[in-house]
Amino acid sequence: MRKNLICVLLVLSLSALTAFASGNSEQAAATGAPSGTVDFVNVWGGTRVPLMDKIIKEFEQQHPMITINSELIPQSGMNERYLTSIASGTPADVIMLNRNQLPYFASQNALTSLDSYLKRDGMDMSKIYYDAEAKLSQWKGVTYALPNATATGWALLFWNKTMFKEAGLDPNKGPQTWQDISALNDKFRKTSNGDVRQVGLPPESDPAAFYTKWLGADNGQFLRDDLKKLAIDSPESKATLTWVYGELKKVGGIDKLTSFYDYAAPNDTSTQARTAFYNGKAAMLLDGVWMFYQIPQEAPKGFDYGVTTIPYNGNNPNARSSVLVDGGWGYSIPHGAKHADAAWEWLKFACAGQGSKEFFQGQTRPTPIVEANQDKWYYDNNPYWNVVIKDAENATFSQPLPVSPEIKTAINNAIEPVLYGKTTIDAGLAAAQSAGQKILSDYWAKQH
Amino acid sequence: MISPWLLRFLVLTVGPMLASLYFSFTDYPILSAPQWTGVDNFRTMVASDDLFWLSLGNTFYYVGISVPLNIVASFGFALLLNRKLRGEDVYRTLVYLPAMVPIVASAVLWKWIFNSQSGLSGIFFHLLGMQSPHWFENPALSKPALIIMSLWNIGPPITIFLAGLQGIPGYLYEAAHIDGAKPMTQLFRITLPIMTPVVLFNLVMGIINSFQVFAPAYIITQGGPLNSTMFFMYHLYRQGFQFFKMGYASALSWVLFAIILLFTLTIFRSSRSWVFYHGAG
Repeated sequence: MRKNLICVLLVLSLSALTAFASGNSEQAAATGAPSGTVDFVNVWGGTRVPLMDKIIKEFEQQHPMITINSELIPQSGMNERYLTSIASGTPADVIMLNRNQLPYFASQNALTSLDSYLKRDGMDMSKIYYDAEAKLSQWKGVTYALPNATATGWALLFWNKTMFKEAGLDPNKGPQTWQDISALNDKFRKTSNGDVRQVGLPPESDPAAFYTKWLGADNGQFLRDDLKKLAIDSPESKATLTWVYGELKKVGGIDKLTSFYDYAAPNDTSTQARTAFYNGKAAMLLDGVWMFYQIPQEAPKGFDYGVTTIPYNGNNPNARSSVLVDGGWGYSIPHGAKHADAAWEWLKFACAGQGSKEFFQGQTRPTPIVEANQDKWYYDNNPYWNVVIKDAENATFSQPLPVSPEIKTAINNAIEPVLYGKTTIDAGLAAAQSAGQKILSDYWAKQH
Repeated sequence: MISPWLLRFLVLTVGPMLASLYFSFTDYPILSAPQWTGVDNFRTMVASDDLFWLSLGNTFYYVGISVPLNIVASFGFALLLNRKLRGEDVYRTLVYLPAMVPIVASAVLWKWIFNSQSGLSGIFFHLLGMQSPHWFENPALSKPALIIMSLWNIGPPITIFLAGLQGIPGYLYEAAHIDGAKPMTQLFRITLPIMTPVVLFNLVMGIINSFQVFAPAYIITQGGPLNSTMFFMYHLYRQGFQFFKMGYASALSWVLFAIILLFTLTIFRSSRSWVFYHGAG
């Protein structure tokens, strides 16, 4: 008797559930509303998790038929994961992709074109986003991603106002030119028994830094306008590398710089310049907009700082404060995604709508959306918001190609010996141009 | 009925190997179909890819030093652990524990150890009144640093040597002792000859593993500085997963396979002259 009762209850429950589910899908089918569980792979870990949870909850309240399954993955190895999942036909519905990888994935038909969705919903990328952001989300004129984090805002010049004041400088005036930085470096540099104990702006030891960070501020290019020739052997490149290497030589080279970081940022293996900045061992830092969120959490209490856009080469009349941008996070729908329509709704919310504004306002970071960055909230909560806007507007778009990672590796291999003093700047740039151009030329030869 | 082991072997080992062999003769960007290119990948390797030779040289350097060092060190530890000591189980466990630590955690730990200011290296050299070198930032010291780091994982070969030592009949040592043989004589005349099969095993395994060194370069040095730790496997990985040239990466993998096979066969061939099988007729 009891067993029969349990069976009856089980059957009734299952029937009710089935009716409910089919009712929902019938409703969804009837209205044409997208539905399903959207698998969303991203790298917004750590302090961004609560922000992400919040906007997911808001999205699901607005879209009751859609559930977002957010999966955090580490940044290292993310491309391998995307490649294998897309190749095996089991990709996530939304992936967080650095848009400097977009040309490769798009050229391999691994991403879903968003043009039909944009047209259907009356969205014009050029009107929503900054120019560079829109272009970086496209490959051969087709949109494959919506910009999420900005491609800009990653190379702002921060300075320690307290250190400036103690050095007899105006704490409210940061460097505007490379020559200002050099003068400040000379002023702040302190040594003890031949070891550097304090610097102005920590010099660059990464061979990529001269073209990823500083070249744009000397009116330089990475690729010529026809995209068929590398521009690493240009006068602007030489001037940039000469200045970057010159500042490194002043501290005694990479060996002395390593000793400085061992002293100023012990046990820090990834953000040494930042730690040295917090510890008062570096008066300046070149870092990104995330610092507005990080500094209150990581720096000593009362840490007083100023911000300006990246200084430019004052000796070049054509130079201006600008950074070459060829990347930045975007959200894409991989080819083969099972819930593409529902994924598009999430993309709109997280990259072009309320979700984007809330997520990045929560980090005091800009969004790639022009209108959102004009929000009075930013100006009220960040005294340097004008700097952020200026940086976004001044950015120089640099087209990434499917072979860009390989070209950059070849350039870095050629430039690194320069930073170690093993070869001259001219020889390094010539080797970089030759190695990179070969890869570029081979790429274009295969396109015909 | 097909054996499950055979099925697994065919599907998960032979199948991928054959696929990789095919891909090595193609231009295969992973997300689109492979295009047959014949021997182009192998030609590029030899004639155009400077990093091919550099990575091979770095790998031979690593193998040539780390393998003998690991064998000597693990054999030495095994001899020590073979003595009847109080707490020998604890010592054996402690010696094996590092092999259980995940590679990422090991890498972080060793970065600290080699830190020239606050790490063990800095403290050690400071006690000697000297400046610690910058191990991972100096092209001349980066490989030696990784070789020293490889000694962290000698737990498994120690265990194998220990098992071999405990299999040596005690009467041989008794007889030698009666004949007045000193400990060093016993080591070279009894222990070592009987242990040669175990040495052979650890040598072959050491060579196979060392040729595939990847994780320390991937996690700590990314092949630098100045490509001094650009090992063959890391070069292969970059070609396949960073530059999306899976055809070329497959070709590199077959070259590595051929090199390891050649070394292994050579060692086996040479073993006829130096490996002694105790109790063999």
